[in-house]
Amino acid sequence: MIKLGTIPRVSLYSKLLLPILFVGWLGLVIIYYGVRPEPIWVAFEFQKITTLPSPVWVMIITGLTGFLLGSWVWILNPKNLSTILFGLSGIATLAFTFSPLSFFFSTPLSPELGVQFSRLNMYGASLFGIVMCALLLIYPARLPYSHFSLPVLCGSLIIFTIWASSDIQKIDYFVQLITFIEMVFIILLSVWQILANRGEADKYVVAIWLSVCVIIGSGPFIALVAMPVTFGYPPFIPPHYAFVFFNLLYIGFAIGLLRLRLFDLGSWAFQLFFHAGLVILFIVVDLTLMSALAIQKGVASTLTMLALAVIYLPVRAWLSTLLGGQKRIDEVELFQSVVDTGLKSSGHERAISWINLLRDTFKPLQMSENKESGKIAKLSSDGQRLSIPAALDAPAITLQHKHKGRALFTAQDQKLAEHIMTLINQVDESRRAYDRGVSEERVRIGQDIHDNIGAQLLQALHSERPTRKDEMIRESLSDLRDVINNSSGLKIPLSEMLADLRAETAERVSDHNIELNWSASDFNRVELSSQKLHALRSVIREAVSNVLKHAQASHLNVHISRKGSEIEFSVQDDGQGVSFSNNQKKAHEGQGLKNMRSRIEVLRGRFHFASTDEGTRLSGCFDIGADDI
Amino acid sequence: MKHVLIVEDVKETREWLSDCICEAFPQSDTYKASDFRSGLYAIRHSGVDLAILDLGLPDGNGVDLITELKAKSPKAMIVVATVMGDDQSIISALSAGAQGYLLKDSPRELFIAQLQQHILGIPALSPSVARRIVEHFRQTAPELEKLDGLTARESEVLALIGKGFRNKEVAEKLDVSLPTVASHIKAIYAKLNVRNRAEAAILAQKLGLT
Repeated sequence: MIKLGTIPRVSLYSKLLLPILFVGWLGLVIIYYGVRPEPIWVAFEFQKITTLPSPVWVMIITGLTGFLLGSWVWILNPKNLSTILFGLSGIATLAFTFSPLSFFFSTPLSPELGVQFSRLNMYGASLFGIVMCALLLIYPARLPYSHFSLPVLCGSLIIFTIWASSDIQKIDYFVQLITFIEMVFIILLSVWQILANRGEADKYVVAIWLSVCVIIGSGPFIALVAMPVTFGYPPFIPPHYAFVFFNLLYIGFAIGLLRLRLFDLGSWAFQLFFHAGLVILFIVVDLTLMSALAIQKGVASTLTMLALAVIYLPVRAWLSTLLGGQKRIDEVELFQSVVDTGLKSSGHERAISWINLLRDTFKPLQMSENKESGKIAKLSSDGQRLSIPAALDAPAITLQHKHKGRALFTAQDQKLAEHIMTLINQVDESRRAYDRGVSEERVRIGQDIHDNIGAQLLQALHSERPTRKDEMIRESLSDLRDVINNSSGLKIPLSEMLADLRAETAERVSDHNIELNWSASDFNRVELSSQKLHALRSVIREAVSNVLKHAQASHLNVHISRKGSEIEFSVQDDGQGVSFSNNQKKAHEGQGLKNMRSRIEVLRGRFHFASTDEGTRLSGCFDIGADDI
Repeated sequence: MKHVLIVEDVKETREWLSDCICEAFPQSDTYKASDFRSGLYAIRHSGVDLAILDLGLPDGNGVDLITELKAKSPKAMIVVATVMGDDQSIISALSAGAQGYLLKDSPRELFIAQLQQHILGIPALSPSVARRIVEHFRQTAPELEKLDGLTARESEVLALIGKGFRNKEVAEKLDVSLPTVASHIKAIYAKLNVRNRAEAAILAQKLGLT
């Protein structure tokens, strides 16, 4: 949108003062000539606007375009010599296009007034050439000796013009001669300006742009009209039509304003121009509807508004993107590349990818490391540089000369850079969080392996009986599988652990002709800490092992349920019971029981063991733990 | 079972598997491969009736051997023997066309019994893998909606196995015969394979390969 913030309000009015004074002066001159006691402006017949021939319209449009655009640029940057010159060129264009119009509007024109208009035409045409020469002497770069050559060249051309205008007979010849000479200077200065700026990309582009605009805009008129007349031939095309090329010049400048910030004006100048255009267009369309179609005032305004909304606004948006040369950045693609950059595995890769991302986005001619890192992206040197703060593992970077020097950085680029910075910092933060998560997970897995599997393997190593060793190694492998399957980091729900244990137990008892009666409550959504889960499983496994090995039972009941905040479990068989007759056996059984008891008691639970000759019952309970629900 | 192929990189385990095979199928002749490459050679150059494959081979992924064998000898029975294989890689193996899997850390007798059951057409399915399969079907359902999902019965079977019931208990609970349960499990495995191929086709289409 429009950035009025760059021009203080007060100075905007002071900037308007100069044109207002000019217009006022022009009005006084007209009034003076118009109301003299013996007015020289005596016309016998005025042409109607509708019967005017087409060349008149060409000249009106050309003159107005030049004048409005020139004044516009001047108003917005009034103290700069280059914009003053550009503004003057607009006034000159108005003068040389409007002065011949008098011959169309009123016929016959008094000879005295006719001469004055011819002079005005000559002054305008010559002034245009002089102004362009002066402009090319100082813009985009001041050429060497311009302090000296500018007044000399312009002064001599002005003197020549004034001298030539005194010769009433040959005035039509001199105007062509002068403009032809000026064109030669324009071409020479253009070439000089381009050559002088070869080293500096941004000025070089402006120089080419300016030269091309001036030569294409005013060249055809000189080549088709002024040159033939100068050398004694009739013009190749009617002069009035040749004026149309001057429009190209001003359109070229308008595009330059947007793309190159010509005369140091950004796209906001263009926006302002468009807004003014809207107002003028509204009035014109409204008046046309009312006068030409005889539509009522209110209806006409409504229709006009509708037409402008439907036609003008889309056209304006289209023109703005077309002329501005700012392709819309594909948000999705940008996001993708930012994410790719932020998720590269090493800091070095991230830095390289980040620099490439900036290069692809802004296509700068040069990138350099910036020692001082600000917090936000900053424009400097009138848009030649864009400073990007340090991000990821890359240092702060200064980008120079956007689009390989074909454009300058604008406020939009700054905003885009800010946007990318925000995105990349978010991605970076997420990646850090992820990395933290990964390392926490690694610690958790390590802890798990150390606490459970390591301890079990050690037990197996120190266990003397081969069958016991095998059992413990199998249990370790099974635990290891759990660790792997549980690598998602989520706790295994109690119900799933019990399901696995049930299947395993059923498998184990199936060869022993023992009937398994497994009853477990629905532990939907109960999660135990890994320590408790592991303890419960180990105890049930060990108890079942004992039953299989020693009890000679025909039934095995395993029961797990929840009572309040506690988990209760029991393993019961109808076997022969444990008889501690043999000392060695007793010692061993004692060890197994001790293990189970300590596993439960570590959890501040209770453990019971009872054995008769009608069977053995082992039971216990422990707290679920408030944080585990 | 005439020709049995064992692909296993750990020597002791390879010998142990070979012993188990000898005991389970005394008539068979066993070819032992220690890595992916020699496994692939055996698949390409000799007929295989039963293959016992390890998934994590030093020079390749056992799942690729399954695909290869499936193409070469469609009738071969493929059983994955795993110890650390996580549930996800077991599903990949089943999807590639394996008919079952066994745990190598099972006691010898249990391993042989399960292997024989497999040959008889009663595949083993652990609760955690059953739960994974349910999840797998749920996740792929929207993308493969044209393919048949699980039937109600198959879902019931999976749900019961996922809760820790054995095949026999599932049969009792559902009031069907054991072979019926087995055939449900085989059908589920086959659907995994079909879906796997369909997914591959969809992927190929997305990549413009068709």
